[in-house]
Order: sequence, then structure tokens, then C-alpha cells
Amino acid sequence: MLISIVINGLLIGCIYSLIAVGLTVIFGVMRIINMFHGDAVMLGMYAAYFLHEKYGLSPYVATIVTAPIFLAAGMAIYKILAPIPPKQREMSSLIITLGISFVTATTAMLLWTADYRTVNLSYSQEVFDLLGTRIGYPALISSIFSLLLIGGFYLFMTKTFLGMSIRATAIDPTTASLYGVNVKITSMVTFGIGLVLAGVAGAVLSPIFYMYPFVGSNFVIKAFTIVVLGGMGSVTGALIGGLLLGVSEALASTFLEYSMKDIIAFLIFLGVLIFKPSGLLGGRSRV
Amino acid sequence: MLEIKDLRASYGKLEVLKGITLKIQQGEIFSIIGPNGAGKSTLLKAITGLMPHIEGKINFAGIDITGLQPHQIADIGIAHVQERHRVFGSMTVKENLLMGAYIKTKRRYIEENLEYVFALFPRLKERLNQQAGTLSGGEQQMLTIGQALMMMPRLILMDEPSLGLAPLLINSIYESLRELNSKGMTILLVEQNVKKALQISQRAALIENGAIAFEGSSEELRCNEEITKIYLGLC
Ligand SMILES: Nc1ncnc2c1ncn2[C@@H]1O[C@H](COP(=O)(O)OP(=O)(O)OP(=O)(O)O)[C@@H](O)[C@H]1O
Ligand SMILES: [Mg+2]
Repeated sequence: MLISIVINGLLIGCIYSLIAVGLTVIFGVMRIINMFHGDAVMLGMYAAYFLHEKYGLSPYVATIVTAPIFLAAGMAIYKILAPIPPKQREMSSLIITLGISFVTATTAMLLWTADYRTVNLSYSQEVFDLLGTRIGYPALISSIFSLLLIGGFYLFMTKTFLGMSIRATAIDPTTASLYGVNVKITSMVTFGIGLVLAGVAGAVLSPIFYMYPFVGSNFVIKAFTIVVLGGMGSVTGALIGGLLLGVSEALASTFLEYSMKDIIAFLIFLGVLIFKPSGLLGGRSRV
Repeated sequence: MLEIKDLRASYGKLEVLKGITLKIQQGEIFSIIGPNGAGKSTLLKAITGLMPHIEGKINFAGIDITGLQPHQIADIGIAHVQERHRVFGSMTVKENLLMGAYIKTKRRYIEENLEYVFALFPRLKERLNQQAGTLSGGEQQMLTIGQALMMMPRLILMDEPSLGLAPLLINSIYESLRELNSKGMTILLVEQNVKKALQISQRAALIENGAIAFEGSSEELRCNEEITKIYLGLC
């Protein structure tokens, strides 16, 4: 029983981590608090849903189609935020992206109604047995897919020049520019990549979570909790933070009340901010 | 190689450089000395595009580089080793050196350049996978110079390489600068350590209050009365 709760928590945690990785990278490089991040997840879910309905595309394959769109959208939003002077960036970006978030969710409501939807795959009902825990195939595939992407992203950040320049820019943009890094373009690309990760996470969630236009706010709170847990700008921190949150939620909804599930993120968020503001796992900008 | 004409720069309303004119010749070490707050670091920042508003003209190897962005200046071949060895603390020594080779056309020489840097600073080789932030001050200084060399620049601007280092380390860093220069590297050196700077450089300028108070061969500056008054007994 306990083991199956933990396993389920870890599975969903992988996907939470994927959402948080995008958020943490955006914050790390640009000090932009992206409230739109949850809506990008929501859009990723709907995109996967419609591509599946219309063309029968698997949500995992759909990510290839949607990635360039999210990349472009991220770069466009960065263009809006770029003129803000660095000192005001955290507060102003929070308000602007919150505005974009409202407009997006409301538009989604008008276009697609408040109906709950999910992607039904041919293997949606099939289960896999892991240590006595029955896991739906979509949940298993989505989690593994997320883990692989996080691993790939980690390699990108540590082994490629673009990845290293993103980290260097997060640590010290002035010095990075002296080595030839175009900080503006790097920041723009980083914002794009962050949104691609959010969009992919949405696609991956589409067969296992219900989508509705305001579902994004749910995810953005979780993602911020994870970022605070794992330390700003850290990929490994986001992974560990996501797994911790997934397991905490699973435990809370079983042993406390089911409705506690969505409050737990808030409680952890406040707890970390009060007791260890630098994040449970330490400093900023570790990969 | 570097020609600066009537360069002015300010932080907000505070004018820090009040019309600097200088010529740096290819292959020389030119040092800039002067008291705290004279504008030495600001001069280097103005050259590499880190000062938002500048007036005047900066010419490098025949190209007008006035007002270019820092990354463009890096592309053109000027390295800027900043004050207080600013390494990327949470990246490894290896990653820091690779960042030095970020410019695309320099990437294919990475292996050779790494060997060159390790020959100059063997200590870096032993600490390749250590986080740069955990290096000692002297090692961080070696690392920043190493990063600059990975850029294969035509000119290195060096801001107080001796700052905060023990005398022995200062000597070894200066030995490396001398070696670089003997292989043809042009260096614009900013120093508070007047004695060291005037020993190693061929020419020098004294900056006071954002303007050049004296310029000449390092030999002349060493024996100049006013300067010996401030920095006792160098002659
Ligand atoms: N970022 C900044 N904002 C505002 N004023 C600055 C800034 N940086 C430097 N200054 C001011 O500009 C003047 C020149 O500074 P600069 O750093 O160029 O001096 P310096 O000659 O390098 O001194 P030091 O030998 O102490 O490094 C100083 O009066 C300093 O207070
Ligand atoms: Mg200085």
C-alpha cells in the first residue's frame, strides 16, 4: 500500500519536474517570474488533444509538431519583457505574465468551453504491474518520457556550448558577454526552450490528467513550489523537488484528506520560504 | 593597434572619463596606473562595450569599435580580464575554460589552447573538475587569464591581476604575462601595484580623476618626480 502510493507519487512527480525545469531555467537566466508557465502547459494539453482528435497523433509524437510553436511563442513573450530594466524585472514580469495568463485562459474558455477533456488512447485502460502496484500504461510512458527529456536537457546544459552559455549567463551576464555570448539572444532562446518544456509537459499530461482552460494555475503553483524546493535555476534541483512534491501529494491525499492534495504544494512553498529561502537543496544556478 | 580619442564616459550624471586619448602599439605591454577611483576600470569597460554611454572614438586594428556590444568586441579579438577574477563560480574549471572558447571560430583550437593554458598554469590542469568558486584567489586569477587565452585574442585588457594575491603568486602571474608578451601578445595592463606594472611594461600612463596626468615610457614614469612623490622611491 505505502509502496504503491510512493510509486504513483514518483510517476506524477517526474512530470511535475519537467514543468518546473522550464520555469527554473527561465528564472535563472532572466529573473523573470513566468506566471504564464501553467497556461503553456494547458495549451500543450489542448494541442495534444486536438492533434489526437483530428489526426490521430499520439500525444508523445505531437510534441514534435508543437515544439517550434512554443519556441516561437516564448521568444515573442521575451520580446515583450526584454525592455524592462533588470532591477524591476522580477515584479514587472510577474504582473505582465499574469496578465498574459488571464487572457490566455479566458480565451481558451471562450474557444473550448469549460468542459473537462482528456486524451483517450487505445491502451489507456491497460495496466502494468510494478512491485504489486498497478500502473496505467499512459502514466508509465509519460513519466519515462519526462525523465528522458530531463536527462537530455541536463546533457544539453552541461555538454553543449549553448547550454553552457545559458548557465554562464544565469551566473554573470556581463562576464558571459565578454566571452562573446549575445546575452539578449541567449535569454530569448532560453525563454523559448522553457516554454517548449512546459508545452511538452502538457502533451505528456494529456492522457492522464483532465484538461480545462484554468488548469494552468494548478500547475504553476506546483512548479513554483518545486523551484523553491530545488533552488532557483537548478535542473537536478527541479527533478528532486518534483519527485518530492509528487510523493508528498500522494501521501497527503491518502493519509489526510483527498482535498489536501492541492494544498500541500502551498504548504511546502510557505514552509520552505519561511525556514530555508535558498531552497532545500541549496544554492542557485547549480545545474 | 588600439587608438582611443577623447573618450568620455559617465555613470548617470557622474562623468568618470573626461577625455582620454591613448595609442597602444602592437606587441607592447602598456600599463595604466592611478589612485583608487581614477577611472582605470571604467576605461577598460568603455573599450569592451560595458559602459552604456560613451563619447569619443575607439579604433582597433583599423576598425571603429565605438559603441559596439561586448560580444561583438569579443568577436573582434579583445579579451577583458576583469577586476577581482570573475569566474563562473558554480561551473567547473573545465567549463569555465570552454566558455573562453565560446566564439565559434575558436572552437576548433580548443585542444591546443587547453594545452597552452596548462603549460602556463599547470595547477589548473589538476583542478579541471573542481567548481571554480572553490578555487583560491590566485587560482581564480590564473583561470580568468586562461579563459582569456582560450579566446585567442589580439589584445588582452587586464584589470589588476595582482589584487589580493600573495607576493609569490604576483610574481608568478607576472612571469606568465611576460611570457605571453614575449610571444607577441599585446597587453593593456591596469594596476595599483605601480612597481610591478612599470617593471613589466614598455610604456605607461598615469590617470588621475578621469584624465591622463602623465604619459611616457615606463622608465620615465619610474623616475618622474611627481610619481615618486606619491609612490615612494621607485627610481
Ligand atoms: N557601477 C558604477 N556606478 C556608479 N559609479 C561607479 C560605478 N563604478 C565605478 N563608479 C565610480 O566611478 C569612478 C571610477 O571608478 P573605477 O572603477 O573606474 O576606478 P578605478 O580607477 O578602477 O579604481 P580602483 O583602483 O579602486 O579599482 C569612481 O568614483 C567610482 O565610484
Ligand atoms: Mg578598478
